[in-house]
Amino acid sequence: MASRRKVLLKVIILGDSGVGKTSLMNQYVNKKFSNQYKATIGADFLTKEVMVNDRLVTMQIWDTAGQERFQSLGVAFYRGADCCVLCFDVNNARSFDALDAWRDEFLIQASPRDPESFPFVVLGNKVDVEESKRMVSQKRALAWCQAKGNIPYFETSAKEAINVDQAFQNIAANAIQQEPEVEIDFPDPINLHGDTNRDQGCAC
Amino acid sequence: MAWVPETAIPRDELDTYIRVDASLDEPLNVSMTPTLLLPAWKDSVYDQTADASPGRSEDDACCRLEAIRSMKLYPPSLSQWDGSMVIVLKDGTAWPQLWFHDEESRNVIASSAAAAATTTGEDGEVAEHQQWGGASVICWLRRLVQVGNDRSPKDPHLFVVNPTAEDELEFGLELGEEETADEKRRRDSDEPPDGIAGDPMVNTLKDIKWNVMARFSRVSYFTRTMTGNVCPLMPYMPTALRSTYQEALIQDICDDYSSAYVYLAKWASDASKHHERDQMEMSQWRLEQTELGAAFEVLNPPPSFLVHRTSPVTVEQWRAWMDDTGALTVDVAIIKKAIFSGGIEPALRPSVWPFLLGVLPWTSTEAERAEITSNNRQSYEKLKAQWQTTEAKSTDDYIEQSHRIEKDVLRTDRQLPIYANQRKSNGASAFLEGNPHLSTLHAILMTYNYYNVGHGYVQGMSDLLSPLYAVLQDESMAFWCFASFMQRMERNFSTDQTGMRHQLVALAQLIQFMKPRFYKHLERTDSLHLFFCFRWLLIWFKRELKFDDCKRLWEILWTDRYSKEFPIFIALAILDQHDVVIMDHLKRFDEILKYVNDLAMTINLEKTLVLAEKLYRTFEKAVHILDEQGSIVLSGQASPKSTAASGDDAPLLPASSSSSSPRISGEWVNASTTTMASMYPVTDELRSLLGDSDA
Repeated sequence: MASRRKVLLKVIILGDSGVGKTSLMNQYVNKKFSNQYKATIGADFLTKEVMVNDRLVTMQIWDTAGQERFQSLGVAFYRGADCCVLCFDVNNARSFDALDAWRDEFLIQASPRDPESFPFVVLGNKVDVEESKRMVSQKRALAWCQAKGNIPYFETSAKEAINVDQAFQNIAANAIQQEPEVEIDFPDPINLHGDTNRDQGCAC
Repeated sequence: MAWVPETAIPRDELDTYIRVDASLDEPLNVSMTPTLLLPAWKDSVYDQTADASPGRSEDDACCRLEAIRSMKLYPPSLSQWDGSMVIVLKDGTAWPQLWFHDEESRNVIASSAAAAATTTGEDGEVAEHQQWGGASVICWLRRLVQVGNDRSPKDPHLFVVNPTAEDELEFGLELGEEETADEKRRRDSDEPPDGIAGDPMVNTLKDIKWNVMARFSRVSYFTRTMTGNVCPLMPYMPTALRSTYQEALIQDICDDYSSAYVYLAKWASDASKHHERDQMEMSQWRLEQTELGAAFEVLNPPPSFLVHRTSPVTVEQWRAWMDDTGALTVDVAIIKKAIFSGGIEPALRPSVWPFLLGVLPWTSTEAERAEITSNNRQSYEKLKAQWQTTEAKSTDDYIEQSHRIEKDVLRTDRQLPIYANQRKSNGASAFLEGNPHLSTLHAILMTYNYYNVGHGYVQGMSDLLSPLYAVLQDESMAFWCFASFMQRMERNFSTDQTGMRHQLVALAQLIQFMKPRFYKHLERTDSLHLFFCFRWLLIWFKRELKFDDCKRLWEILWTDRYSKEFPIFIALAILDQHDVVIMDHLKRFDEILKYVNDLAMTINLEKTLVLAEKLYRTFEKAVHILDEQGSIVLSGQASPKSTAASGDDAPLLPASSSSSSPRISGEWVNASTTTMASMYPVTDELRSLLGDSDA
């Protein structure tokens, strides 16, 4: 087998049931979308090779069950995570409101060495749905992310493959921070409408 | 060992001999041939028409197995049509050559036919073992005494019986180049070598373990060699693997990262399935027995449970069980036993499932059932009306739960015709895509959400409802059956998840009790939480089995034939079919989880059911024996029943004096079981796995 050193980045996707965690993972890794993915029970992961700053790394992306009831048993795979992806459905305000709880839960269960600087990335999914159904504005999402220490925010559609690659490229770059000797440039978060991404959203 | 001319055997006994011969792939069953098998003696009818008259007597020959030094086996070849065997005794004399007229031997013909039906692997030995009588002699012998490690490398035809250290030197049995790292590791982890090579029981144990291990390691060795050099061997790969391998993605992963282990493990699993299909069937149960650890050490001799699966209960059978009023005239236990052994014919399921789930009483008549069903329908409509008011529909709880249920119904078993997308007559945006069956699933789950206020709807419940509704296709009946099923499953969905935790702990303890080596592997890989079995137990293997198999499994589990906790044994039986591959190839929790998740839709249900029943009965027996031994230890008296080997009231040795190397034969029985009982106590969790009738 090859002798060069391997880097494995462990990424955990969290978020309410039905926001599209499984779809995002499958769109990114397999370039496929199905609206008939079964509700995830337990956990599973996919791996993907990705270039980060001219370095080939392996991302191991963990997909989890969205129903909060099953979280207490599922901590086995939180350990050793390099990045946590928080997902919500931009058409479902409740799933956005739950981000706080998901973030807290993760920090408690994974207990990273430095919780303040642990990398999170937020994905607002299902932006393909008609604008009239949208419940969470970009401003509101960005404000939350900024308040939590400038968490990168992406608006995605797993169905239409919008922004998915860019988001995961950023996730990989964030995750690789945890690798001690690697120097990285951060690609800027990209958002759907080409706005400046760190705009001052109102603190609503 | 004895040679007897076929003509000297009475006709009725001859059939028994042939039957025993054919039962090579079943555990030794002494009771089958009480008059034929004497301890440490083995009669044999391989040479039914020997040319040479053997040895001392004109008509027959026999000797104790201990007296045999070695055997030379010459398989049939191009130059020599019939295979032959020469037995050399310890006193230096030899029996005349015995010839195997395989074409006249009924059992060899039968096994060849079976072998021909399946493809043979790359290893010629496997095929050869199946196809001539000499090989089956060795197979039989190996069950009774130690026969080399394999053929001696100096003489490929030579098999040494109970080889000593000198024999090993002389015949070069310990051959370095044949020993893979795997074998070495296994040998090191085996119990330390000991002086008493003569004890047939110990030898049998060691030998069985050894053989099976060697076979597995051959596969893993083969696999490992292949991985270094995959492409040239492409033509030899199974088609499925070949196409997978050709995908660039897989190739990348293979070349690169460790998830290749998961892939390789699957390959190994596939290869071993192919390669050892025949051998495995025969050796698997023996492997389990040696793996049983605690359970096995107290079961002396090892149990030989014969488990037979039958055909499903048919509509005709069911009708025949009823009298004119439609009341069942047969004992419920008998009906449940029949269902447990064979399941139910699909057409009969809608009639029988409500009985199994307790919605209809077993004692009811047709008229009574009609009344119950009608009352149930009314109650259901009332419950359903509760949440259908505009008032109820405006609450937060309604909105949240309805949304959640809708989302899950939309992704439950949509591949089935009944739940598939309808033609777009109602437009794509219609509620639940215009499929009335999906709306019914939604209504049932919503009603349940209000019926069981404590739990409400939790993810996974839609998986439990879907088969019920698909079979019953009656909203009210499906609801009541679901509600009854949920009573059983409720603990899986409790808010604090104690129910799931409890089952996973029980499963882990069961693995420790039955398969300690596998348990240690799970311990080393930080996998004792058994998270990869979570989905299995939460929804009773719904996602692991094909839809029809799932229905079969559930109706079997509903019978509670052995224990309400039988699903734990199903889980054990599935793990049991993969433990060797997992131990050999998967060194981390994530690898194990991936491998186990990917078992979905590959599980052979019938095989798993047989295995689960055997495992349950072995477990039950082990607990009984441990309990019996425990009570003896407590009372300080040896029970004559349990000291079968020593025969007299041998005083118990203190547990500490024998703890270093517990033995399992003769007068050591008591001491070793004492030790085992203290090493592997039957915990409350383990005891809770036994059915009521066994308490």
